[in-house]
Amino acid sequence: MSSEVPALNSETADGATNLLESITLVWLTGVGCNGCTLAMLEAADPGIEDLLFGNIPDAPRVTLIHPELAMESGSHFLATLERAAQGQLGPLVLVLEGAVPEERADTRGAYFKLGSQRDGQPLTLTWWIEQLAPRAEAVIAMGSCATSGGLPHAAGSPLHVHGLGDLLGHGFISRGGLPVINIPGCAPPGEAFIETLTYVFLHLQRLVPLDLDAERRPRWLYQHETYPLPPRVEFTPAIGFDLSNRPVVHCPVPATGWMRKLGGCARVGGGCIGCTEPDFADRFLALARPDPAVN
Amino acid sequence: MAAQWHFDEGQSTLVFQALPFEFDSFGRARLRDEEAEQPYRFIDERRRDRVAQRARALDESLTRPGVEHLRIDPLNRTSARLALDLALDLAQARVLNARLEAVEYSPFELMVDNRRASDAVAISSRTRGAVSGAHAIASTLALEMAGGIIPPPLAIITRNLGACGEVIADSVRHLFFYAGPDYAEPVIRQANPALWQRAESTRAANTSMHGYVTIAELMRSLTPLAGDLTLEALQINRLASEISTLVYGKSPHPSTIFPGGNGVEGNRELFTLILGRINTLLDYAKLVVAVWDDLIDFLYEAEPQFQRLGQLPANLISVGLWDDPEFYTSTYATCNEWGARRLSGPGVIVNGEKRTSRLTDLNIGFEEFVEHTRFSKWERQRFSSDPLDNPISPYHPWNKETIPPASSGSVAPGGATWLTSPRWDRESMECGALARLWINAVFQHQNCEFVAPVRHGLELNLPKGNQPAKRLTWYKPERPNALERLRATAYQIGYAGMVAYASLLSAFECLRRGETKMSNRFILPDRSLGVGFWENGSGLVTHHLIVRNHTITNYQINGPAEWLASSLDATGWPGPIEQALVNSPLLEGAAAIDDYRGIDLQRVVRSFAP
Repeated sequence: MSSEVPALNSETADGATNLLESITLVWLTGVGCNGCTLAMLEAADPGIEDLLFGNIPDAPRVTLIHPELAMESGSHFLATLERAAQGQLGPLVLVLEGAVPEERADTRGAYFKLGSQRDGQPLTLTWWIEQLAPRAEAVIAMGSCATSGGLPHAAGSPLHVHGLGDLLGHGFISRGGLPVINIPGCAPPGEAFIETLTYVFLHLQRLVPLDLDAERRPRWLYQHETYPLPPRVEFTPAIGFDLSNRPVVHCPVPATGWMRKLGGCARVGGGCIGCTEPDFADRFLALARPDPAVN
Repeated sequence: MAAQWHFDEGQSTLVFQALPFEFDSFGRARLRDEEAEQPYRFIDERRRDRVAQRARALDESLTRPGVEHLRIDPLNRTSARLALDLALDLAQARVLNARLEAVEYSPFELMVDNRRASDAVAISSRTRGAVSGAHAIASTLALEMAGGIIPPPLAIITRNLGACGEVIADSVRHLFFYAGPDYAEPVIRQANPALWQRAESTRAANTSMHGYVTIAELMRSLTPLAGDLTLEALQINRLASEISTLVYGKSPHPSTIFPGGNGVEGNRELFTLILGRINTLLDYAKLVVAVWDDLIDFLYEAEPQFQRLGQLPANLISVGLWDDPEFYTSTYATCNEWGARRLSGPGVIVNGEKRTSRLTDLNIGFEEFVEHTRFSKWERQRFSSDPLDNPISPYHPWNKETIPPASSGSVAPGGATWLTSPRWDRESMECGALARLWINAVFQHQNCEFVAPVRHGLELNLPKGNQPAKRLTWYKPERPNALERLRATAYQIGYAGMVAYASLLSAFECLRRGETKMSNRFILPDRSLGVGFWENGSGLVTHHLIVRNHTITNYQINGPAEWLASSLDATGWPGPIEQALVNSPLLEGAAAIDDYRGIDLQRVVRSFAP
């Protein structure tokens, strides 16, 4: 968003602009369920493979480092992450799926860790984020756990977690001049992620603007308003629903469906639990019960 | 006659051998010795001696020269987040010891407590994304049991269809994203160079099905996100996910499932959309079996030690899934009847011997141990028996309390794991595709008209699509091992596809009869118990719940990761993956530990898809 930050494209001697050829995408997972990875894999036309092959016009070819898909494990995988953090893998975009556990001295790395040092000390998620985020051209929080702590943050959770934006701070600006970009949802549609990622790649090359709203979400995806709703039932609920004071939630799914225009929660008779919003489990589950008076 | 014996061709096996249960003449279980002070204490002398012996032998051997330690942390390409500690004897090419650590704490079973009943479905679904539909269904089934509510037939059928989509998607990801890359060209070239040479000159048996002339071409195509098989797998995963999406509204984490019904409208359009996808997936099922049969048969022939890789005695468990709407009546009192009619039926096999196929026996044999985890033990025993007066252990999930480390205290880092240790009759049990196919074959469940148990295994009769009709024959192996788990996963795609096919026929029949209702009213009594028995691609998913004052007061979630990737139980006995690692030969060519990648061990772990 900052105009002082130079574009990622390179300039040739005669002043023409070369598009960015390749970029490394590091995907970290925190406290969560891996559902956002599954959602990401569902997107097609374009899908993740189109990014890997460089099929999208003007977008770079992507090298993906992802624990659920990586060829390497253990120390070889960690070494690759370290090389990325040291800038040896070229321009970098960081994605986090899952929430960040608060690390206290006596619980460091106990609830979640990504590898250990040689002496057995755990490498915490916070540590990895602190290594990689300063190097990243863009930082993306994928899913409600990463954007706001999600379900692990809800009442009754024994964990203390927060979102990526809370860890890095509201004033964080990436090397590419962007704040932490939030794609909330539990999970958000994969198509929303691939689309946002493509726009980020093009924006880093100053080819397109990137319109983020006040919550740092892609505005064109999250400007749609909807309401928590119970699923469609074939009996008369014991009480009627008060439709006058329904909270508004923002989500692309009612407009786009879930994948390839199929499905889509309330569009097809499902309930809406407002899973794009912070603390949705505590605020909205009651509004989505099929028969709230008795259950 | 008493059900304590399982009669099988003249032989009889006690259903329970470690737990102190016997059966009366009505088939109800009771404690063998009701006067006993501590009936559930651990008395198996042989087990205790073996554990002690092993510990001594391990201590001695670890000081020998040539014994190396290897830690693989993180162990990638699994759904659960795992780290693996190994003691290897490279000179003798064998694994001396293996310890799995689950490095991520999943808090969701605690978060269901003190919430209203139907909120449990959405919360417990988030336990694991890859298992989300199965968790949502298990939660729904537990609540239906607690409330005695039965959904209309079409709701049960659509639920089954969603599960078919999820099982197929699971299987494809397992074969081509998790396990397959370990047999792809880059890995084989580096870890098993002699195998690669042989693969280049070995012709595949099923070239006419998959198009690869040599095994080397097939292995090249397994290279992730570059080879054609993996790119096709991406598309197939999406197609199967579309089926789940059509029924669940979104995938992962269904939004349409609730106790008593399903919010989507079960109409002709929905089932036609699913049928078109199933036809494509059934053609794919014919192809994927050809690919994996060729690869596995080549590996056995080129390197017979692959028979021993990840080998285990046949300790197999399945609670079954895909209820028949004509028989499902949701209650615990009737669960043996409707359980037996599931389109994949339940069963337990220990050491190759059939023990039981009754869901109540599966339930009361279940214990969950936390001694080698980060959780604390609970003190009291809430219930001494299940709702049918069968005895249950103080370690049963209805008695278990989840006690994570106090947040203000310290949590000892390293060593202990976040996965509890479920056991059946105090045995480590394997679940998943191999367990299901094996159990359906030997217990001769014949609930899906397109699946036939035969003497040597199972026959799946796939209809004509773009490919000709084909009968897939799954042969029951001598013993479970890594490659047979993968082969079973390939056949599982055909199995789930034919369950979907049968379900669609039932759905169209419901429409013809005008039985289009999709939900019945769900009312939860203020005090009740429930258990949801279900499965996903990798195995068992059970939710045990207790309700007081319409509120959930205890919720216990056990998924395939717990059964498969658990570590030591209360007796010091390892979980199935740990045991399978210790039995495995080391085939990787590596001179020194610094070059060693542990590819054999990773192959073993990923054969289970924990």
